[in-house]
Parts: sequence; C-alpha cells; structure tokens
Amino acid sequence: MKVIIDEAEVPFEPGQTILEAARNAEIYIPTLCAHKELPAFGACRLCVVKVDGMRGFPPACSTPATDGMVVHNKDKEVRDLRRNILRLILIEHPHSCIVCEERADCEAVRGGPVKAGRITGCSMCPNREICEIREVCHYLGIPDMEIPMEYKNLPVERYDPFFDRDYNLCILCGRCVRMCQQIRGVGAIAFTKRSHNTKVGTIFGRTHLEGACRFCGACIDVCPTGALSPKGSKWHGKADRSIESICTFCSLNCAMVLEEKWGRVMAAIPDRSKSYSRAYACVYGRFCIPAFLNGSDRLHYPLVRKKGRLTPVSWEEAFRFIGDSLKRFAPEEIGFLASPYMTNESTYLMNKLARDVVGTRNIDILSRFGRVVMQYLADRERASSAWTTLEDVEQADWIMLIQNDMVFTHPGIPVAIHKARERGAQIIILDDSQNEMEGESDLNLRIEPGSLRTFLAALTKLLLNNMKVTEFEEFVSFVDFRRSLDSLKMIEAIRLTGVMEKEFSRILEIMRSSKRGVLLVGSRIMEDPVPNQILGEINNILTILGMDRGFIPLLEEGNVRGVADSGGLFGHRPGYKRDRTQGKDYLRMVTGIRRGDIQAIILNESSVPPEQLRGTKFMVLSEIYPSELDSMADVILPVAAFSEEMGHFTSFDGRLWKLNKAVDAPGMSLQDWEIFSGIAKSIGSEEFVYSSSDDIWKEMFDNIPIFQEGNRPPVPQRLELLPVSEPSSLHLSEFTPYVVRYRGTPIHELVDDLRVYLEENDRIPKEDSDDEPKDKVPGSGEVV
Amino acid sequence: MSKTLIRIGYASCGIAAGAKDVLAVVEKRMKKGSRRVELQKTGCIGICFDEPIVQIINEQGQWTYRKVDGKKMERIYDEHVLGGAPIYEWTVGELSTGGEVPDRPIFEHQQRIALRNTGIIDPESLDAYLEKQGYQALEKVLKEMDPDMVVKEIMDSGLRGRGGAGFPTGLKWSFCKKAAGDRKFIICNADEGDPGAFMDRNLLEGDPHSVLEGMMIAANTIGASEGYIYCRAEYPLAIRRLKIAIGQARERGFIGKNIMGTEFSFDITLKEGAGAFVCGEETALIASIEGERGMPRIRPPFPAEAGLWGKPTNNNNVETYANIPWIILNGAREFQKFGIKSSRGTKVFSLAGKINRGGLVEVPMGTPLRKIIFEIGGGIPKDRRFKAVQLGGPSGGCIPTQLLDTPVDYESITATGAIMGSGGMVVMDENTCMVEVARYFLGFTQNESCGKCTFCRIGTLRMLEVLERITKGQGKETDIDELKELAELIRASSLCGLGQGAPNPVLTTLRYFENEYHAHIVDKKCPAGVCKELTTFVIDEEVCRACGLCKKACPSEAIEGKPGVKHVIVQDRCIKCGSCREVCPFDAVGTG
Amino acid sequence: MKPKAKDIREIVAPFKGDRGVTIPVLQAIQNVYGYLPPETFSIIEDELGIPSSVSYGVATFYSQFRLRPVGKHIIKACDGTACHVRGSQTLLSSIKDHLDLKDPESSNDGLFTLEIVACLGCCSLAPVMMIDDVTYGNLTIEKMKEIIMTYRKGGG
Repeated sequence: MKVIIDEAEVPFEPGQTILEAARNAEIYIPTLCAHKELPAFGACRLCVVKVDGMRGFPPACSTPATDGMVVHNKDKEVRDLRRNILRLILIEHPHSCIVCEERADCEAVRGGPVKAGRITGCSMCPNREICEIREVCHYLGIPDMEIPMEYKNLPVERYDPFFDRDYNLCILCGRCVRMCQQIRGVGAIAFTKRSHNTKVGTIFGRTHLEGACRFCGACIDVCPTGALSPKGSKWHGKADRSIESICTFCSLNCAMVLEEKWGRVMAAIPDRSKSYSRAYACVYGRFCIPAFLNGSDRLHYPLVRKKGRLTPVSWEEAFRFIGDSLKRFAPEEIGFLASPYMTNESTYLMNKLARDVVGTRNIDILSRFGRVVMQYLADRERASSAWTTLEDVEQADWIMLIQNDMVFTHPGIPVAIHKARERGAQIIILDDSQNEMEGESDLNLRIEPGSLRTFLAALTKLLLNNMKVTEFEEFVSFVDFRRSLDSLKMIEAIRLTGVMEKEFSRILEIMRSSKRGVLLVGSRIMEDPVPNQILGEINNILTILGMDRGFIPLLEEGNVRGVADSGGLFGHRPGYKRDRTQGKDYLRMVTGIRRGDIQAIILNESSVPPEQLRGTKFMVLSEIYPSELDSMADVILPVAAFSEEMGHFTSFDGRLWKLNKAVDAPGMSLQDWEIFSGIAKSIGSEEFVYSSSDDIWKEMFDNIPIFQEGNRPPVPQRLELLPVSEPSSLHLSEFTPYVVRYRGTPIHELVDDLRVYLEENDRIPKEDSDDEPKDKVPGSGEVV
Repeated sequence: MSKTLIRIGYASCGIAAGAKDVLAVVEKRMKKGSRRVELQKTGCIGICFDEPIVQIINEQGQWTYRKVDGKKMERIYDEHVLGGAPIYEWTVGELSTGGEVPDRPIFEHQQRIALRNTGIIDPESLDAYLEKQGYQALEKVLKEMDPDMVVKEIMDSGLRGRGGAGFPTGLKWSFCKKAAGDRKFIICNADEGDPGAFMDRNLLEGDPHSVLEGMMIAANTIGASEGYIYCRAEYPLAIRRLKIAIGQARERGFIGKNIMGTEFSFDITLKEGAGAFVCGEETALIASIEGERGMPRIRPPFPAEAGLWGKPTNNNNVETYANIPWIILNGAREFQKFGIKSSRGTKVFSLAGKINRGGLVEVPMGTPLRKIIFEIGGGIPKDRRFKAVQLGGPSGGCIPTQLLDTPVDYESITATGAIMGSGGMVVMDENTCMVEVARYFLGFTQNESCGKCTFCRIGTLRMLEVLERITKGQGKETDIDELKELAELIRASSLCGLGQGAPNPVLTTLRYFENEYHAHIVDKKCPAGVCKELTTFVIDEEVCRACGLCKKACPSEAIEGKPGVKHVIVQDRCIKCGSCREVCPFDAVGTG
Repeated sequence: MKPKAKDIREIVAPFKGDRGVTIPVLQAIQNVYGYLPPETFSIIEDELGIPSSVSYGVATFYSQFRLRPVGKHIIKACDGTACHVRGSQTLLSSIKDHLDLKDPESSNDGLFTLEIVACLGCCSLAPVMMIDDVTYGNLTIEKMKEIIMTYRKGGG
C-alpha cells in the first residue's frame, strides 16, 4: 500500500500514520510533540498537512495513512499555517538565540554554549546544539515575531541530583510526561494545573528526590528543548566523537553511545538506534558513567611491594616479579578469582593461564549470586542455552517477582514489566519485605521471612493436585519428591508463610492460565542457607507447569554470564566443557587460604572481603581504584575500564554485545587480557601471542559454538524433580542487599548524586551530614 | 369531596426561588390532618421565571399558581384546597383548566417529547414513570425488535445528537454496533458545561428514568452491558435523583442481569464530574472517567472503535437519550412530523438573559428564533431593544436582530456563524456590550482550556489579551485584523471542539457588531455602557423623577439627591456598575 | 475536622482494586474535609499505587478540588453567561467587599470561602449564588447581604 506525499510514492504498513510513513521514507514533517518512541499526542499541531478529500488540516501524527491517499506536506498553505503555529510556540519559548541577527557571527565566535549567558538571555539554554525548535525553524524559516515573548519567570529547579529543570524553556509537548508515565511506568512527573498555567511538575513542586523519580533520564533524552538537562554534561556542548558501546554496570548490558571530548567520556546516552537500550537504560548508565570512570584516584602505574611499601614499577618489572613469585608455589596452591566485569576475551585468557599454563583448577567467579546460579545451571547443563529475554517479559501473560530489588539493582526491568502489565499481564510479587514494585502488582504476597522454601513446596503440591502425574513418574527422584510432598501439611504451610488459602488459589489460577509466564528471581534468595534448594524448587514448578522457558535469575554484575561462558566458572572450561580435574571453587579457596592450602591468589577486582584473603602468601590484584585490599596485595596492577577496552560481553539472557574503546585508559593501565598474557610470558609460556582482543575472539569464535551468534542450544527438557524441604521457618543467613558496582567499587562511592539518591531510598546507610564533603568528585556528578 | 393533588415544582430553580418554604407550609397544613390532600414534588415544568410553581388538581380541574411564596401558599391551601375557591389572579393560563384564568401562551408553540414528563410526574417515583408508558419502549426493543431494526428506526427518525454537533444518532450507534469487541460501553454525557444552558439539569431532575431507558435501549442495540453517566458536580439535585432512579431500576429489575427475562444485562455507574468544561468533549470525558486529567485525545481512533478503556464506546447526551423511548413507542414517522429539512423532531432550549419569561422550552426544529424569544419568551424586559441572542455557549456565537427569523435547525444556525449547541439561549439587549461578551467567552475558554494544544493554550490567551486591551480602551486599529487572523488559525487546527469553537464568539461579534469594536478602539466609547474605562453614566435631568431607586441601588453611594430633587451621579465615586440604569423605571440614566 | 492520615487511609481503602478511581477518591476525601489535605496524595500512592504527582496533576486540573482549608460555608457565585449579562460582576465585587476576604478565597472570620463558578444552571433566576447546597436566585446586592447575614447568625 502506498501513500503519495508531495508526489513521492511512499509505502506503508496498515495501521501506520502519515507521519510514520513519511519517516520511513525519510521525508521530513516538522514535529515537536511526536516522538517515535512515544504514543501520538497531537498537542503541538506542527505536523498538520493537507490531504485530498479531507476537511481542514489533519495532523500527520494521528491520521492513519490509507492506500492512494494524497498528502501535501510542502504546500504554501501548510507552510504558512505551520509558521503561524511556530510563531505561537515561540511566544512561550525564549527564542533570542534563534531570531538574533548576529546569530551566525556570534556562534562562530563563541563556539559552545556558555554559562554566563543568562543576562543576555541568548545563551541561557544548554541545548542549543541539539535544539529541535531550531531544527523546525531552520526548515520553516523563522517567523516574524510581532508579539513579544512571554517569559514565564519560573525558578530554575536545581535541587535534584543528576539533572536540572528550567520550565521557562518548556513548550509542554508532553514527551517527558508520556515517557515517564506510559513507557517507564513511573509517574514521577505529570501535567499540573490547566490552561496557560499548565506546567510539567511534581506534587506541590517538591523535588524529584522526594517523589517517585528513578532518575533514568529518559525524559531528558526525549525533551526537544533545553528545559531538561543533565548537570554532568550540560555545558560541554557537542561531543568530539560518539562511540557505540554498552553499559556494563549490570547484566542487561544496555547499548550506549559514549560521548568523548577532551580525551574523556563526558556523557553516556542510550543508543536510540537500538530498541533494546533506549527502553531499558537507567540511572547508572545514563548518569554515572563519566563521573565513575573519570575519578581522580584512578590507578596509573603497576605497583610492587618492596620492603613493605608499594612502589611504582614498569610493567616488565611487575611481570617479572609475578613470574618469579608464582614459581615458588605448587599449581594447586594458586587460585584465580575472576572479575565478573571482565570481557569474554580476557576471561578466556585467564582460563588459559590458570588451567593450561599454571595448571591449577582453582578458578571461580567473584559474584555472590551469579556464581551460585551459574554453577547450579552449568552443573545441570542448562547454562549454555538461550534464556528468557526482556522481550519475553514484555510479552508474558504473568510475571512473578521473587525476592528481588530490581528497581535498584536492574532499573531497566521494571520498564519491561510495565509494558507487559499495560498489555494485561498479571504481576505477582513474592517477597519477605517491602518491594518497590508493589504499585505495579496485581497480587502482592508478603511471606514470612525464611518461609520461601515452604511457600514454593506448598505451591508445588497445589499445582500437582488434579493433575495426572504419570508423565513425571520416570523423572529423576520422583518417588522421593512424591513422598516429600505427601508429608507436607497445607495448614502448616499457611501458618508458616502467612499466605492465605485464597491467595494460593489466586496464584494457581494465574499460573495455570498461560505458559507464557516469567519468574524473575533476585539475589535475596541467598538469605537461604542452601540457595540451591530454592533454585531446585523453582525448577520443580517450571517442570510441572510444562514451561521450558520463563526463568530469569537477576544476575547482577555486568558480565557474570560471559565470564561463566568463557571459562571463569569452577569446573567448566569455555563453552561449559566439563573440567573434571580436582580443584577448589570459591568457597573452598577461602577455606583453603585459612588452612594454608592456598598460598597465592590472582584476582582482578576488589570485591572480596579482606578477612577472606588473610593468610595468602602472595596476592596479585588488578583494579581501577584503590581499595581496602591494597594493604594485603603484593602487586597492584592498573586495569582498563570498559570504556577503555575492546571485547565482548554476554548479557544475562545470553546475547553478545561488543565493547568499543572510547578513550585511552589512564596512565599505564592495560586490559586484563594483556595482563594475563604478560603473566603467562613471565612464567615461560610461548602460547600467548595475541596482539588484540580480536585475535582472541577469533579463536573463541572458531572453537566454541556458543559464541557464534544464534548458536546457543535450546533449553533442555527438564527431567528432574527435587524433593521439597520440610515445612520450616529457617534461620536466615546474614545478607546485605546488593549495591550496584563496577570492579568491586560501588558506583555511589564516586558519584555523589547517586549516593544521595540511594541514601534517600534507604539502599545505603546515610552518612553523617557533618562529614566533610567527599573529595572524590565535586558537585553533582560533574566531570572535573 | 374527592382527593386534591398538590404539585410543587421542586427542581433546582424552584428550590432556589423558594419552593422549600412553600413545601413547608403544605406539609405543616397537611399534618393538621386532611386525608383528602395528596402532595407531589415534581421536576420543573419549564416556566422558571414564574417559580415557585404550585399546581392544584382536583375533580374540578387543574390550576397552576405562579410565584408562590409561604404566605400565598397559606391562602391557596386554605381557600382553594380546603375551601374549593381558586385564587384566579395568581394562576397561569394554559396549564390551568378550570375557570377563568389569565391566558399566557407559553406552551402554545411548544411540542414536548424530551420533556414529556418533566414537571408532570414525581421524578423520585418509578411508578409515576411507569404510569407514563415508562420502560415500555425498552420492553418493545427487547422482545419485539432486533438491534438492526432499532438502528433503522432511529436512523429513519432523523434524530441527531442534541449535545451540539448534531451527528446522526442512528449512524453513531451503527458504528459502535459494528465495532469488534468483547466489551462495549455506553456513556451518557450529562456534563452540561455551557454557561447559560440547563436543559439537561431539568431533564435529569424531572424525568431521570427516561434517560436511563434511552441508555438501555442504546446499550442493547450496540451490545454493551455497562454504562456510565457523567454528570457535573454542580448539579447535586440531579445527581441525587439519578441515584434514586438507578437504585429503583435496579431494585425492580430494569437494571441488572437478564432484564425482563431476556439475555440483556446492563449496569450503570454514575460518575460525578469535578469541574472542567472541556470534559463535555467526548474523548476528554472518557479520560476523566478513566481517572485522568480531562485532556482531549487524538482521533482516530474514534470512541466508537476504541473509547473507554480502549473499548468501543457510544456516547450521547442526556436529551438525545430522553428522545429514544418516545421514538421507539411512537415510531420514526411520528418523530419525522416535527422539524424541517435535515433537522427532525424537537429541541429543548433554555431561555435566559435579558428576557421576560426565562425558562425551558421545547419546540419543533425549524421554529424561528423570533417566535421563541418574543412569543414564548415574552420579549425583553422593560421593552428594551433586542441586540443579540447567544447560542451554543463558548463555542457558539451571537445572532443579531436582522437574523431573528432564522429557523432553529442545525444548518441554518451554523450558517449564521453560531452553532446549535446544546440549547442554551442567552438574550442580550441594548445594554449588553458585544466586545465585552466576546471577552467574557474568551476568558472562559482560556480558563477552561486543558492546556494541551498550542492553539488553545497560547492562541486563545493572545486573543483574550487583545480583547482585554480593547475593553480597557487601549485597543489599536490593527487589533481587529490580529483577532481575525488568530481566530482563523485556532479554528482551523485546534485539537478538539473547545479549541476549534473558541473563536466563534469573537468571529460572530466581529461579523455583526464590528462597529462596536470600532467604537471601543477609535472613539474610546463603550456604546452599551459596560466597559468601565469607556463609560460615564449620567442622569438626564429632564427625565429623572427623583424617585430615589437609583440612589438605593448604588453600591458605592455615588448618587446624590433627595425626594423631589433631581438626582446626580458623582463621577469620582461611580464604579460604573450600571445598577442605577438597571433599576431606573424611567430610563433616565444614560451613558455620556 | 483535623485530617488524620489514618482516617484518610480509611476513606481510600474501599477504592482498592478498582480502576479509574482517582477522581472519586479525591472527591470522597474532599467531601469529608472540604479540601484535600496535603498527605492525601502520598496515601493514595501507598494504597492505590497511583503516583502522587499523577493524582496531584488530576487534582489541579479540575476546578472542584481545593488544596487549602475552606471556611464553614462555601459561596459559589455564578458568572455564567446569563448571570454575566444580568450584572453578576457587580454582585461579585459586592460579595467580595462584604465578606472581608483575607486571601483570594476565604473570609477573615473563617466562615466563608468564595468561589466563582461558570454556571449553576439556574439561569432564569440570574444572578444566582449557591451557599453550600442552597441556591439563591434573582439576587440584588441588598438580598445578598441579607442572606449572608443569616449565615453569620448561624442560620442558613
């Protein structure tokens, strides 16, 4: 089907509007309120066109295209009308920067925007370089402004972390409101009042910090004016270079554009060309990357402990020292601890160094939750499969959130859940404490702490009622499973969990209604002394429901899955090839250190509690910032961060993402794989001949099927049912909630605005207000 | 002697005029014991200017008393109800049947279809409605007709939406009937927002069941089982009576599951508006029912396909629904007999402003304005000169004297630049300033603008600023062109009806009264004596009879004079409110 | 009545689980207190999951909702078209003078809150005002003063 726009034949899909058809054909129709990520709104009226056979001037954004429709987009009448509309819009929007006769000269001389321009009024806007109103003016021609501008005289709102709001520049296009309410499902901002007093705002004009805002920054990214601007980068003007990469702060790996200027990453903006990122990017990726990476404490030189003092040395000396030291230990006395933020390539080399060069099997991932989950799945040959994705979440009919804090650990996922709920999905929360997602839930089950196992067991029992069990009889441990269920008393389960019978029936009704369900399991299941029991019982439920998909463990660190895929996991070589030679996993290594069985540790992040490492004879630590482990380390190596290296990451769902180097690493920092190559050479290996991460990738790609795109095996059929545990109220292990970090350093330690946000939401303890201000980064996440 | 029925008009207007006192007298008298007297409270019969209205009905006939108060009621009760002697001089003609009463031809030109029961039956009694063929149309529809037949009947009748836009009702129903959807909704728009209009209020206060019945017929026709009535909160009595009516209908099985033993099930929810004129626009109304800000939404999709909660939705106004049962019972052909051309049936108008007999009238479509205003409405008080009649509220316009013979049908009214609207008719006389009227409406629209689209938010504010300038005597000659230009822009591409219609009051006053604009801008005079900055009031010594009425009425003590001494206005104390001119029986106050 | 969070919570509770309740729930709270106490919005957020800024946006859109405490009686002075052409402006300024308003809305003695409304639908009796639920028509300045006096004396 085709629509004719100014004599050009433009194809379109049924249901598309004139504007969508035009956009596909790259025909420009000026718009200010329409945005391709948002539902049509029809407020600015700029997209009016003339259509043969239709009365008046229909807006292109909301008029469906029909076959053979003749649209006039460049007609004089249309142009005049649009110019008049623009004229009205400019009455509300300070526009001296547009109409000024000296504009061209001025901008040539003055270059980037300057902060001091408030007095003249012409450069008070931080957004001149990317202003959409300017774009429209450029297309339509600047209208005569006979009516003077009406400045609203609203105070600029600067009292929130991360971004400022100057509603004097706002044209009420409503993009931010639609983004916040309809797409992100947050509702931190709304239109308030009406008529010409209408303003985008919060309840009683309070700060966003007091409100529901999650500081994802999506509002800024759709704002066509300079009304919303990030504090950190607003005055930097246009970037020198934009580099497509990803955010590695969590396992979603959102695609981001890193903006480079003056040799630093100045901003990170969700990559709008990729649907995955623009939907899910969050406070960490949108606002924290520059301040976190550009801290003044970044390590610059390799340090070797000489006579008790850490002394800067050359890489050669450092490697020589490491090589000489390692030779003093037997292979089984050496342990490798892999950072879950390492690239797949680096992990691959660490694996090679540990298993093939050093000859130890003591290798594991530094991740509290991810390590347990990946081990559980890898041992059952389920780790290599493609998992349930966020797109699956969006399409789900029901979603159960189990023991997680996704609003703070994975702020992108609530966006997918909101989308699902808008479609009619039922959301169930299963938690032993307050969950931030309660406002988005249809059924909120607050279970007694320690009763999760019992709840899952009772649910399993109820699900099996009225079901033919013959199909399960052949399953591993079915008899024990059956027996364990028979001895479970529902009355006891109800007492222990505090979940009412009618709530149980409601949840059964929902779960039975469709196989398109998703269970999102968070790290708070680690409160259970044996988390594998929980994972097993969740597996029982999926087995009984006949769901081959639908399980999402909320892996926390950026590349847990990739590191496990690439040989970082205990007992598994790259691609989950079983390594049956004896060795120690993380917990055994910790015990080993205490007993003296483990003498040397090579680790590349600082997330390990110092007491666990006390007693090592030799410790090599790669990190990006100084840490409390420094006093114990014999060698400290400065490593490149994700914006400074090349390589691949694997997100939680098994998709591969490419890191691209945006800037040089500070000082002499090297990438992990370069460090491993150096160590390998220092102990005499000739095999590490890689000149770039691409070389490594090529080797991985050629030899390991799961690294070939789309080549992950399907989830294998479930053939096991785990006997459920007896009803009990467990004594829970001590558990501190996960705080988002990179390479062991919590993000908020370098980003004060994030600290404020997390403190306000009780995610981290409040610092005493009397404290001296943090000296790491001044101000509000602004880059020094 | 047989029973005597006392009917008291007990709608908002009656109560406001003092019906409470009248009721108290009757109740007190009845307590003293007279089993032969029965009391009935009804809605408004439409002669609001004569409220409180009391009707006495017995074997001898029916007498309608006007402007009754407590004292009068005592006498009526004693002399007429008990004594059998009507007090003729207090009665109204036409609605009275016995004996000699002064005749006043208010109802002569009226034809009551929508208002068939208002003011006649007790609106709080379902039985009273049933006696008047109530719910028989629904029964007919459920048992004898299929939905296609109903759609055809309504189409054939020529009924068009009475909310203002005049879209053919049958066609609207057929769209929603055709729309695919497991759930559909019916909405009754009772958010009568036009200032100066009160047809729907009276209908809901006087005959709520007819509206419910109309909704149910529509619901059955399009396949909906849930309905909403969106009634403005400023109508507490209408809301109360609707609640009673819904409760009664539910109790007696007219609302609920398997109505009248058929497959048809239906329930109604009453939603109270919260004060936003724009919610009369159907997509804004839907947003409001959904609990959101009443901001109009883009169309398409049209509500008939995706309305409330995204489901197919049919929305009609109160009066439209009230017509439905009548059409079903009497047939499309009967309905077609009234009206002209493409406007069929009758239309209810509320007459207000500078008119002698303000109230509610229902006339066949095509009745000339002159007849409504002068014959039914009794013309202008104090025989002042008619200047214009405002139709259609803030989206409508002012029709001048030379167009008084315009028949009220959708097309003819639109041709004048005004719109039919919901039926509010505000009459203006020589003392009304048309520029100020335009400013008043723009102020209203701007205040009620939802703030969403550029035109309505910014454009109407600019128009308002220009008009304010003119009424303050600071107008420029270019202002008229600027007004016209802005008006055309706003009309051409605003998002919703509120915006598109907003310039109409300005455009019509410019079209018919441009000279008044010029007087303000060029001569710096307000000919009607309304715009304070441009007016000086003076008392004509020749005419003044020193009666003192103006002195008494003056709120700022600006008039000096004693009995027998001609009165004078002290200009620096005068606040130019015009009260003296209003009260002067001799027209001695004029503008200088 | 002094608003208590617990009481507001009780008003909000029955609306749980229904959709489209923002306006009815605000009306229910205003019916009790005459205005919307500031804590209203966070309670609605907690109980119904409607973000406070969103319900605040709704409350500030509709003219019915008040965010400040009101006097004992609410006077709605009509400025509909019919009232307007019959002198409601003069009446209105007299009411304002007569009431001794301390802020744009409420009188010093805490007895009255004045609101200007678009139309009360009693146009044939213009000019009109409504005090609480009672409508008064065919007003003159004298009549208005008398009526307000009866409320001052505790009648009405």
